Amino acid sequence: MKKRGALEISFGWLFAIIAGAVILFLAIFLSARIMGVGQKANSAQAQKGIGNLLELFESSFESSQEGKMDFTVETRIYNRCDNLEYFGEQLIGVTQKSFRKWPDAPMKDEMTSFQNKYIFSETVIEGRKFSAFSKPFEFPFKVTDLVYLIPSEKKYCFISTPSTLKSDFSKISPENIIFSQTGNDCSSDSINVCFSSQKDCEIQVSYSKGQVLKKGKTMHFDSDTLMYAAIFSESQIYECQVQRLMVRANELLGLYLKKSETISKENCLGLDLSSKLIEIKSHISGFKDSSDLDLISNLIQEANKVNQAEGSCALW
Amino acid sequence: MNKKGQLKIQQMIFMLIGIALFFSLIGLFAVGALMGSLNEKARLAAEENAVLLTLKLADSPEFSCAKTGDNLGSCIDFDKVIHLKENSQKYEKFWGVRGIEIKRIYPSGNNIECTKENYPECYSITVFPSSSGTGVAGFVSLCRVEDLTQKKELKCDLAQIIVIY
Repeated sequence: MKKRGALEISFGWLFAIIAGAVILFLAIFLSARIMGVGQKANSAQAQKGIGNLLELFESSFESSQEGKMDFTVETRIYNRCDNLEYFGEQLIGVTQKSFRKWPDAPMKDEMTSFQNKYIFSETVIEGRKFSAFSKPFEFPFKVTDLVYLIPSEKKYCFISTPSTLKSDFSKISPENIIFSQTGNDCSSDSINVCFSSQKDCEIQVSYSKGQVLKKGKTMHFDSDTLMYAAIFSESQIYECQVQRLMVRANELLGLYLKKSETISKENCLGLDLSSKLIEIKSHISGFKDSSDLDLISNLIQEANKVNQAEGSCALW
Repeated sequence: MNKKGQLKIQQMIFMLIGIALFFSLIGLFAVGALMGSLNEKARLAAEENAVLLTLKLADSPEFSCAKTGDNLGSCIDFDKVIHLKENSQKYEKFWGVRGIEIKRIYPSGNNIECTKENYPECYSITVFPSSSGTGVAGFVSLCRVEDLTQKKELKCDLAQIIVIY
């Protein structure tokens, strides 16, 4: 009666195989999902943690601050700047290496966004340790603190740096920034930042012209704070952040102009200062990119001088 | 024979459904626990942000006093904040919190909300109104320029800044 070649499996075996496959599939599927969710949760937590850490960089009296971020695993920090909202957005994404594999780069909606922060770095930075330092951006009143984020493993060698800039770092001294007179003591894997014409420079700074040349792109600056921003970030991020800074500066100018109206009732007239601020505001309204900074630079210095002379009636 | 086979198939289907249900329940519990801990972490992060903001908001340029010689830290410029309130819709998402209020607590007075019309004879400024949320408060000085006997001075009162998250 038995058919030749037919496979005979008892019900018990068939059940065990099907049930086992289902259980195995469910277990693998669920654990992968839970691990994925856990990984995303860790990334979101790290992103929020970075944001809260950056909150500490908002300072009023200290000129610059330094901080460090240590992660237990290899971490990638994604920096993205958007100008879609009124004040623009600083987006931060974090992914961490797991099982020797990097997860996909985070989508925009997976990143943590801040409207009141300005981080200057490469688009993606990688490592376990990161150095961050901040400097106040004044235009001529304080607009915000700019934060520079660099992986601790990445070394920057500043060649022929003006002495005024060296003193900037004497307080904060990030370990991965070294100064060299000629460039001979720069290590071969360091990124060379040259302040005079030299060979093998990844970043060329023309301090007198207020320009930074990096990867074939020119970024303009009007202060040391923006110069560091141009050195440590990609041009696309730099231009976007400068645009955001101008929007905030414009809003603050509006506030200061209204304040000057209010305090004029207390015999603080400050007409000269108000007219300067109106002039700066009109320039900022037509701001296109960092090359427009040159036009405003002198006006800012003049406005600052007038404000300092106002004594108790000073606006900022 | 045929009936016996059908019965076994039915048994197997019931068993598989039972096992699937059992593991779905375990999965639901696991996801529930994970989401619970995530919500708690999110709440803690928001609280941490609000506490830090309370400490730092007075130093942010939209709030801070002018840097004159006698200026101490944690000083809010009343002359500036009153105008910030008018423009507050632009700043709605700016600090990532639900609401910001400033209350003058000394010298004390009735809780009149500040407007451009009654300024400076008022005691409370709601920069961003919020009907719900948890508030974190910090003490600040609330200062404005006053023409006291022809000598312009900063007149400061004690105030509380409340950040609602």
